[in-house]
Amino acid sequence: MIGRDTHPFSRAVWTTSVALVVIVILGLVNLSNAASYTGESFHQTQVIWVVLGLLIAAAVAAIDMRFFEQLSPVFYGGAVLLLILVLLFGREINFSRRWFSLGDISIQPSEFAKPAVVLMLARFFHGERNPESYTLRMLLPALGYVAVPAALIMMQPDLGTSLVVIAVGFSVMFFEGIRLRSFLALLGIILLLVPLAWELDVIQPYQKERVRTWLSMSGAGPETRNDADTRMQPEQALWAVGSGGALGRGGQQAVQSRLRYLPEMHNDYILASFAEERGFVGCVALLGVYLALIYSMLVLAIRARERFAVLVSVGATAIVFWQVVFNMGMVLGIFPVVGLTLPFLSYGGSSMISGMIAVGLTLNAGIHRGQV
Amino acid sequence: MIGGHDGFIEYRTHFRWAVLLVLLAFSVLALRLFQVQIVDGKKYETLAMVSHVVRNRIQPARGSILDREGSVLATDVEVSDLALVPHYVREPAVEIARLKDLGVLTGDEAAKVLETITQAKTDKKKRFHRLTVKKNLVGSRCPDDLTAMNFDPATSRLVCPKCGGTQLDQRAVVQSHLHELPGISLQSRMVRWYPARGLTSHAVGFVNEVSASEVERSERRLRAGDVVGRSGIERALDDSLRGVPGEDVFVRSAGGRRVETHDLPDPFRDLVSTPPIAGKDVTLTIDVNLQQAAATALARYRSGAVVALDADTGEVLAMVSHPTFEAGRRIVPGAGANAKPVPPVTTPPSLDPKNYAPMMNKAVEAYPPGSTFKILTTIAALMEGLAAEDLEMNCPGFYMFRGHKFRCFKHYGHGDIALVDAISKSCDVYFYILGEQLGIDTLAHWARDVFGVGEPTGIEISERAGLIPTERWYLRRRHQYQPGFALNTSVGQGDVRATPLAMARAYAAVVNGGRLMRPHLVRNIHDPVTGADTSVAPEVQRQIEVPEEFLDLVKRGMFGAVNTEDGTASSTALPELPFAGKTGTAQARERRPGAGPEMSAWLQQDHAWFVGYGPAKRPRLVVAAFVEHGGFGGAEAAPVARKVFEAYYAAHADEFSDLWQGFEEDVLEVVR
Ligand SMILES: [Zn+2]
Ligand SMILES: [Zn+2]
Repeated sequence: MIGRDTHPFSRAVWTTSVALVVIVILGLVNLSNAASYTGESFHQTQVIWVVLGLLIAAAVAAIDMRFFEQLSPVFYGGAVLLLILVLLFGREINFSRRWFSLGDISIQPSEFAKPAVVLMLARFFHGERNPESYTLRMLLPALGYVAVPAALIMMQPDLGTSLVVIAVGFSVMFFEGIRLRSFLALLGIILLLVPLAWELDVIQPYQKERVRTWLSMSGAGPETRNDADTRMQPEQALWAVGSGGALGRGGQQAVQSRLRYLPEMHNDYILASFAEERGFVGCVALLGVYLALIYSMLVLAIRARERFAVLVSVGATAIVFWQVVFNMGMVLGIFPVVGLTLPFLSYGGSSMISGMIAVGLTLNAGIHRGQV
Repeated sequence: MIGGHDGFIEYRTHFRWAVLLVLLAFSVLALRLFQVQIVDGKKYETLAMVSHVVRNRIQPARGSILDREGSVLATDVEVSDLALVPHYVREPAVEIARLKDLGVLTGDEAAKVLETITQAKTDKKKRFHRLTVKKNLVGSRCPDDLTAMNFDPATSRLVCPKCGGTQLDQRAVVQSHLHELPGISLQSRMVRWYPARGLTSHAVGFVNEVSASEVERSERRLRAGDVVGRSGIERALDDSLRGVPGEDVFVRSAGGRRVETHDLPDPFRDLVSTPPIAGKDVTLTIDVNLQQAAATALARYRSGAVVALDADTGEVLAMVSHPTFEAGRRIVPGAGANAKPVPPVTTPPSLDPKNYAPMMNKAVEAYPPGSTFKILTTIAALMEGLAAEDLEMNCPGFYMFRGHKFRCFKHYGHGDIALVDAISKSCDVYFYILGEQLGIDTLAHWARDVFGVGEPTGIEISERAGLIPTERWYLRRRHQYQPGFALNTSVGQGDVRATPLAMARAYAAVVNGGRLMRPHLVRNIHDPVTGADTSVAPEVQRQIEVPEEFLDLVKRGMFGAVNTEDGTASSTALPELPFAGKTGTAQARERRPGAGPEMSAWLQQDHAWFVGYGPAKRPRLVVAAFVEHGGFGGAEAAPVARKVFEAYYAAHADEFSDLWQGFEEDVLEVVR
């Protein structure tokens, strides 16, 4: 069945595109509603990002995949270089250096590191002509490609994006066929590294506090006296979600989101105001659209003709998937607060364009089937 | 076809795993959404209206201080302030206009408040800060100065002298309109009020706010804004008076409204308010009427003190230091039950009371006691077998001792004089000789170790110990000792220092059968929470074993001093119900830098003393009157004491009715 459909615009391409547009529109409506609480018109700027993003996605989809294959070391090297530069010269906001300032706009290099890592990994596995399961030793370069940007992002510090990079890296390796034994060994190493990082203060105090907060919220940790104060932000996001109920309060009626202490409301916590306005029904619908997007992206990946395109598409899908899971998990209190955007819904140029590049890459794989 | 890529077979397996993973993850998210939005939705909806938790410390009412009959000497008066949080004031113009209509704000005030709100609303942080916009809430036409308010002791409320309205009225007005005034609130504050004005300032003391360093040292017991007692009973009984602060915990809703925590789900339900525990009320032994009499009697002098003790119990019935100060605020005469027109408690109007140490409690300050000390010299000599009733000496007006001429105050001498007369007429020569024979250390033993002069009395408030010098003291401090020092000491001169309180206590021991009592100001402590009363029992510090006949001799001497023609205080006698006592005129020449000629002349004068008891036949009250640089004790201090006795007799007339006829026989008896 696979490959029977030779029309360049397969159903999966349509599904992906439609899902993407639906999510983007939902995001714009939601942001313009949020403007009535924050008093700031993020949605107007966001329109520019959406248009620019769609154009970039179309361009990425149109360009020959070999272009990306050949230039992937350049993209990767450029991304790593930007990550180093941002540590040195980036603008410090809230004790972390994540942004470059160019006049009025800020650029977040870590967003672009995600597709770059995917391209680099795909190229590596494409070059490796060993289709059998990889040993740990053979995976070492791939691990390095993931570890370097992940570590640089961790240093900003931006735990969330760093986790996404690692998760995406693993997803690609898993898809390519890592041996279970190697996978477990890697998992073991990481599980050993986490407490070490905790002890050596690689994980910042505020991140530790967030983990503790999350532990106490989920009832696993000891209740501390000032819990009521420290867990305010994540708790209140949860209250916003919860007070949406089954059907939601309706557009611009989100009482909780109107409050002043959800500073990341247009950003990391955009789901909170969406959930409060649209309720459980709206949220499940949103999940459905995301599911459609991710599933069709995966279909595009598996249908690609060539190893590089498959892995790039899988990686791109993984970017969108993990980001959705981590962000929603955070807002819903399943994970600690890590600070991640919700793809295509959160306000912000860098994350929008990075997400569009990811979708563009999968569309490329779907459109250029058979041309390799 | 997938040809050429063996791995693609594997990809298809992995694709299925990936789809499974995605479905699993999304199912978890959907389930969690279901839990949060459907299962717990109601709970979160309640929580969603929570803005933040507010913890307000509730100041406990500080205990009142009352006189022995229950007149209020110090109390907390509740005062209201108008406060607002700019962010929650929805329509500033409307709300402020409403406050103006209600008569809470004047036009000027309203304009100013409106501007403040408008400004604060533009600031992201400031708009959430609570602002006090009007203190001491009274009507817009009432004086906003608290000092202009009257105090009504019946209700412990402040009354506007113009319109007769209370703060309570104004509060009620605002309170009933609060629902249409979002963001605006009333805040209560306690103000320490001293309705007795300056009358009892030294015994009662005063409070003020703690300093930053005190807050730090208190280990969270005190906070900025707390008041603590600084002197007198306010300080001595601060712990009892202060009470324990409570905490008002509630949740502020998104709309700025108060939400009680018990209406909320879990994390908030545990936040409970605790009520404050009111401070204990302290009833003093002071009798304001007696206090008033003493203060009035002292008023014509520049500086002085009166202590009146219950001879049997050591209760301090009056403790006046003059001039006085007004702790806290003024009270307008005529406002309350016990506020009869109060004569000004001040020095003669031409003089500035500030120059005469108004804050100092002279009743517990040490001065040379002069001849009032002779009573102790007499008892010492009697007990040491150096004197007897019939011991006569000759007074030519001076006593030559080792080439020094010690003068009697009567320059032409008393001639041959016996013990009782020597006391009545205060012959210095008689006591120089007794002092010489006793020696300074024996004298010091009797005065200090037995009668407690020159050591702290143990009263609740802080006091001076005074001083009875000894040979060792002179050697250590002055590096020389001369036997002549004993002579000066025997007449309460030289380096002897005694507080009026200590002298009064020693005299009380003489007239009550030798019981040296601990003088006390606190009669009762009432706990308003439990309703329990803790009474202070009289405490005998020392039982002095002096034969009754010796004490009688001394008492006869003191009776004569007041009630015989040539006694030192004969002009002040109260023939209907005699009192007795000993005068003192202590040399106390001082120099003060910067004193003008008028002040310097005053400083050259002697201290006038009188310590006595009454009624003479059945001693109940001991009075020590001291007029600083007042001159002759019999002429200046004794009349002050007499006024106190008169007031005491008037108040206890029925107790002494049986004594009123007997005075003539008493006089005759002594004269005989
Ligand atoms: Zn008035
Ligand atoms: Zn004489």
